Amino acid sequence: MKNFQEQLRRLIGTVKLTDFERADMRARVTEYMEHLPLSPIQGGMTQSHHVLLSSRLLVSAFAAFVIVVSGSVSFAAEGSYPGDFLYPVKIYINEGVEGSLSFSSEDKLAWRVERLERRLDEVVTLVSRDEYRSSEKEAMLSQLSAQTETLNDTFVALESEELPLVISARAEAEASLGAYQELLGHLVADNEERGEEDLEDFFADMNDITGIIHKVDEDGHVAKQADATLMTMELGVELPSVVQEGGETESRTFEAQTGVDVEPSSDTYLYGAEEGEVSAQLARALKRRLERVLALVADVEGVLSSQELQEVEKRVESFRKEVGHFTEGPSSAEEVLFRELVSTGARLEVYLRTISRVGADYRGLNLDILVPRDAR
Amino acid sequence: MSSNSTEQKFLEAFEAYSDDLFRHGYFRLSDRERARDLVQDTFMKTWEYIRAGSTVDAFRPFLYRTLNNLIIDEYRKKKSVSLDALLENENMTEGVFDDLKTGGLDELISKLDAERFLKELSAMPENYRGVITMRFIDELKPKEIAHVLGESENAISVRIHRGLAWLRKHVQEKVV
Repeated sequence: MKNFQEQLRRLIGTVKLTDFERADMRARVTEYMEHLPLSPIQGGMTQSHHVLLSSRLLVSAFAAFVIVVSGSVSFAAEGSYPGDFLYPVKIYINEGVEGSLSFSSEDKLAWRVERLERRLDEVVTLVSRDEYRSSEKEAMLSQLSAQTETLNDTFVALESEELPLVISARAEAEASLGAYQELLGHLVADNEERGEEDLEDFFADMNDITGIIHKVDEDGHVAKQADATLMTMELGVELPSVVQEGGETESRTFEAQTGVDVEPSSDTYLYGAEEGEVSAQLARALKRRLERVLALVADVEGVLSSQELQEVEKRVESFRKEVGHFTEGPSSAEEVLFRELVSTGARLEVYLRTISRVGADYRGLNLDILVPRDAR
Repeated sequence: MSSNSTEQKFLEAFEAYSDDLFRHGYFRLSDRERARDLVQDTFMKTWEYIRAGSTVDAFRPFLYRTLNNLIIDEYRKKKSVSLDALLENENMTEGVFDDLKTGGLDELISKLDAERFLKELSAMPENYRGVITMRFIDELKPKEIAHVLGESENAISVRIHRGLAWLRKHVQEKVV
């Protein structure tokens, strides 16, 4: 009996989560806790904030300690990719610390968009360098999926209270994801042309990844709310509840677009008070994008040929001029133009970032990414 | 309870029980990935419960109970098996408590080693598999299992007995 129990304990003791699985699960659970924090009643508003602040200070102190003691490890981890020894340090420690330093809703949203972009960036960079490893597929997909879900949850959690922020973050995320998706499409086509082995798996993996990208905002209610808000900015259409009255909203949005059966009124804006804020947020989002693009141009100077660099600079200059046009943010009439511009900015940024990471081996990429698909 | 201590205790429970819960899920489902997902869901649902203003006095039984409910849902998605139909198929009758004495178990385990036990466990009907896993893998006492499942200790003991009877029958059939 005793031997049996000991034998059983020994056997079942081998069944446990791997360190990676446990860390991954812990990260997801803590992110979930962050999205759904305890209400003030459960701890008292002041105490809760104090505690959060304390825990953040502790995290910061810990971060400082880590930097002093093992700064080089942390720094080296920043340049790691899925499958590398230091990769878990990058995504769980470095990014965990960075994330804990995002205090405002705006910072949190921006950070979550950036985290998803980082994962996509890693996939694109590995594929561009011909260093993509099928063995890392599951881990990469799992990370992409986690970041996508986190972003979606954040959109939903914030949309009722921070609509302007959600609209601008969504516009940024949508444009970035679209650009990454196109870039992946180019890389897949490029691999096909080179007739590399294992293409079937490669395609399947890429499809899985782009499938996950589509999960962002797949229920579309943030999108509907954002679209409807933009469209009704100037028309003064009453918009009682976009989310709760989906069908009715679509019809109202149609009315707003076509002007049919719409009675403009001066006091019926549901989001009237937020109109200027939405507009300002969108303008800020564009400026942030421009700043990032300008910072990246310097990084690729030594990599691109003079002709390519000239072409890139021409496009960046044109982007800069267009952004200048939106100092006050777009009006509803300018929505299409605005979306095109966000998309241009995202393409430029994703292209430049990938070139700067991949360096001299970037030849798998070309300037096609900078041209919208419809225009080719 | 302050939010700090609630969060801290919750995270401590994650560190303390995530492996045990994963092991439990793994032997119930024979599917590593699904077990991992359900353990994660268990913690998220528990957090939702706390967030809704409820208090968890003891995390271990609460987490087991939540995971057990998720596993039952998982089985329901696949198929529904009634206990009566199961008993009919297995040609079993209500057990008697005498059979639960250590002698019966000793006799059984003399015929199989731990490896074989785990193999047979994966083929065991879910009704028994849950309690047998809790009893022998998680090493919970019948009283604790009763608490986790919200049933009486007697009902649990009977089910453990039936599970062992099923195991005994299968081992004997294969030996013969």
